[in-house]
Amino acid sequence: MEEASSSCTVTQRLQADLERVVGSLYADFGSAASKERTELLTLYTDHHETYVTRGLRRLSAGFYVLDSSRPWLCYWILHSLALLGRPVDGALYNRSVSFLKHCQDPEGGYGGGPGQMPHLATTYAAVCALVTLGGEKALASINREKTLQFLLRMKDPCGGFRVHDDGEMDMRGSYTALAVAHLLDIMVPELVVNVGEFVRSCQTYEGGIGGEPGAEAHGGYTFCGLAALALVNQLHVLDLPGLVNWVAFRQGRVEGGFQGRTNKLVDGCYSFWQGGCFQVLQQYMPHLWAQQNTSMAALNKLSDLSEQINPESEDVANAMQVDSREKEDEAASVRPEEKPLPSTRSGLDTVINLNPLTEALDETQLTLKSSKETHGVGEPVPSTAGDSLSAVTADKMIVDDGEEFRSPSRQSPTSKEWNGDDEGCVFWDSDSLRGFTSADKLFPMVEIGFHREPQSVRCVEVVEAPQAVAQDSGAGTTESSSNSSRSTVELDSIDECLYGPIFNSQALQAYILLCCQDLYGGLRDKPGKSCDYYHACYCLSGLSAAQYSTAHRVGGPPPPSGVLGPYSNLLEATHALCNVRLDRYYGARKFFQSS
Amino acid sequence: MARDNWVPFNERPEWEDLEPVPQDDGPNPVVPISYTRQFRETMDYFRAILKKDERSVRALKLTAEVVGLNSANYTVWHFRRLVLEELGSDLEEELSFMEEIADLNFKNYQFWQHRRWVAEKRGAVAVRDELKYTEIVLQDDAKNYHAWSHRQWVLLNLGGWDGELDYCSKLLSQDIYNNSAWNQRYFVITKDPSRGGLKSMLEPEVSYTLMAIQEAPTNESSWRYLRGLFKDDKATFITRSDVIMVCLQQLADEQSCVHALNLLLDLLSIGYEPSQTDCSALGKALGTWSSLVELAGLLCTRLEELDSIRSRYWAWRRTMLPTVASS
Repeated sequence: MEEASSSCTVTQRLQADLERVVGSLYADFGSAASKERTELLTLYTDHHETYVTRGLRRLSAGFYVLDSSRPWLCYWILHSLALLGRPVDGALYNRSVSFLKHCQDPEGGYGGGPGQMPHLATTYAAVCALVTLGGEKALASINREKTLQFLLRMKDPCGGFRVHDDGEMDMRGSYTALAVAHLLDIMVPELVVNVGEFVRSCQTYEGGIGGEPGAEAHGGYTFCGLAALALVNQLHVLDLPGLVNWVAFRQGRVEGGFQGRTNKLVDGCYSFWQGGCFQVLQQYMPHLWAQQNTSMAALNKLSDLSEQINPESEDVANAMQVDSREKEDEAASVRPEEKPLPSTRSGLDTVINLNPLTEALDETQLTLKSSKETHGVGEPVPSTAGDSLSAVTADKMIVDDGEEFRSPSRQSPTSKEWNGDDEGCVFWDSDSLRGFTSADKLFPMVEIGFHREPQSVRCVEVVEAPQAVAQDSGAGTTESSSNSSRSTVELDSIDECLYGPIFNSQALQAYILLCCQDLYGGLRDKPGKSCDYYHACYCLSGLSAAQYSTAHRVGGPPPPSGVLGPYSNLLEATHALCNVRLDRYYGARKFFQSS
Repeated sequence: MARDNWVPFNERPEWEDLEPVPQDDGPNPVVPISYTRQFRETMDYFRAILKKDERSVRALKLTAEVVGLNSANYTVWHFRRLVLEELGSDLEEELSFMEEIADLNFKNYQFWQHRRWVAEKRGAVAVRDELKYTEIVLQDDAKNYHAWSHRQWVLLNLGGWDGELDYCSKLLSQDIYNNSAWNQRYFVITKDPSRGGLKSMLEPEVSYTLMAIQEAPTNESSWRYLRGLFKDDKATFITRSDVIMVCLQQLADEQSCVHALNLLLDLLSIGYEPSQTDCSALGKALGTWSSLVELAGLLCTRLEELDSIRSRYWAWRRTMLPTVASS
């Protein structure tokens, strides 16, 4: 059955065909002159902008098949523009807000078009589109009370959500409902009940998550399940080591892109659905650490018996080492509550106390963080162009005059706060790439410039949730925060990346840039397929996630070596769970929390 | 789909009494679709019916027209169900209607949700039809996600388990890389109430899987299935000499068998202690080590080299070992 082409199975034949196509594209790339290579790896920003903007203005009759997905079209296009750093002009802004208002149901939620029943997926799309537009006019157009009523109406006692009245119940429902609740700051306990049970029941023996219990592990549903649990702080209910192993294996050796399921073909959209899982895991790394350690129990026991090499303090230092560049400042400015707990408390030798970073971080914290890094503790510094882009733009978010919602004009790489002296990718020299036809050989993970590999890390999870959720918290000690009276669930992601990417972010970028781009604008599933707005949105979202996976902190600038091709390829950062541009996320959270 | 013989509504006497309701997009909408006249008019009349909540025979016919134009319109499907209920319509006829429009809808949530609703209404008599129907769909597209989900729903809620394991075997004999069929197989052995659960299915399934692995050692599906069989019984997993042997064989036969190394690494993590013979096979492939932690480190390092697209992942796994084995 193996190899011999006469007895090839369908799966083998399709895979071999694709590898041939992609392989020959990569071979051309490998044998090109190094200057030409840089050109080949360029993101056609202008063309993509033109491509997506066209759709915002007019769609041909052939789009009738998407007549019940028009908020999706808005989101795919507006989010693509936002990632590209391109502004939406005042007229299009107003037209977008007005149109989405016509899709809002009087009883809450958004339909696929005016007069259609509200649907969770289009509600997510509409809310994300409005958050992406930003500004009071867009955000205030959302009826939060009615939206909450709609979400509650869709909630099933088993923990899942129906996507509409009498509609199907699957992982899309869970994710879209909870992302909306989070963005609008209406995450009430009733929405959270049994969410963990439902998602856990959909994790399959493979490690990934399916659409409903029993269904095959699938990239789209895996992202939805993972992000849904992160949104309600219940990641511990999943088998995370199993999940990350499955997702890691979805990256194609030859293609560099991701497949959605085992033994299926790669598709550009999974750059986000699967690649985005790594972005989530990276930001919730301590959860993964805790479980990975538990899963190594046998080896831990052995090493405890035989080896006492690392004194605890050294481990702690290693574990706390976030970034060699920031290490000294960090050491000087460790806040009392960040001090590692005594190991006796958890019975583990190294402990990171994960503060529940409520709200992940709002821009105030961001500014403080920046000041902490570059100045002493408690020494306030005004935001300047030298601060992170997110912090600067977040300041301008909450405005009302139809002017400020424009994204900042695309900044030159230097203004994105990269101080390294690395001029960019110098990998593309010589002929050394000639003859290679696969992503693993052509796009190995280059040295990303910093070492964050902790040795033998243990973590204490600090889980904050409005109700008891801690039946099965793995190795970590679970603590309930004292302010359980709060009505909403707070995120406990981290803002500093404790570890670099654990997938090949270079190869993923290569697949998107070389295989998914249309020369005349637009992005696609794979070579030979035509472009569409959905693929534009998720190829770009995946590209952004891959680029920022090497950044030192969430939304911070990645080093030049982390961005494949010219540094001007760098997109704006996206929020790992909600997939809206990071600064727009902060803007919306601030708006809804104060309203 | 525009039909050539479409008759405009103003030429249909039976619709005379109804005032069409135009779509309210507001002024100057974004993402405007340049609808054909047929699409717009049909939708205008549908909106009128929906507004009146008219559950009549002509309403049912109209929903069929709308579904024919845009089968992803979940509002229409929902309303159609209300009308079908109201009229007490024949559900066999509904199935024939769905056959007519099926071709383009195999990847459409609404289509399958509707089919599930019809099957639920029909009850146990639907089993044979639904299993047969999904088989036809899977014949052309053996990994169709919706078809598999539908089939699982039918089995769980209406029964029909008898031939299911054979069906999985049949599909796997056609394409052993068909992961959907492997997933269905797992579904059957864990959910079929007559089979007594994973424990009683373990032995035949382990031998089936080990054979599948030997037939196609690079097939990830069978390796994952094997892990799945021991998901809740890790203590047994680490003592299975047949499993270990297949892993070690792959090291010898096929140096590049990433899946065997991946499994060995996990087995070590949960307490597998290689026997003398195992050690010599491992030593031949990996070199020498002085502790099991170091052996795990060697596995990671080997995986970093062999499976270089995942080198970061394997490097991370290595750093998660109790002490980092020097490489």
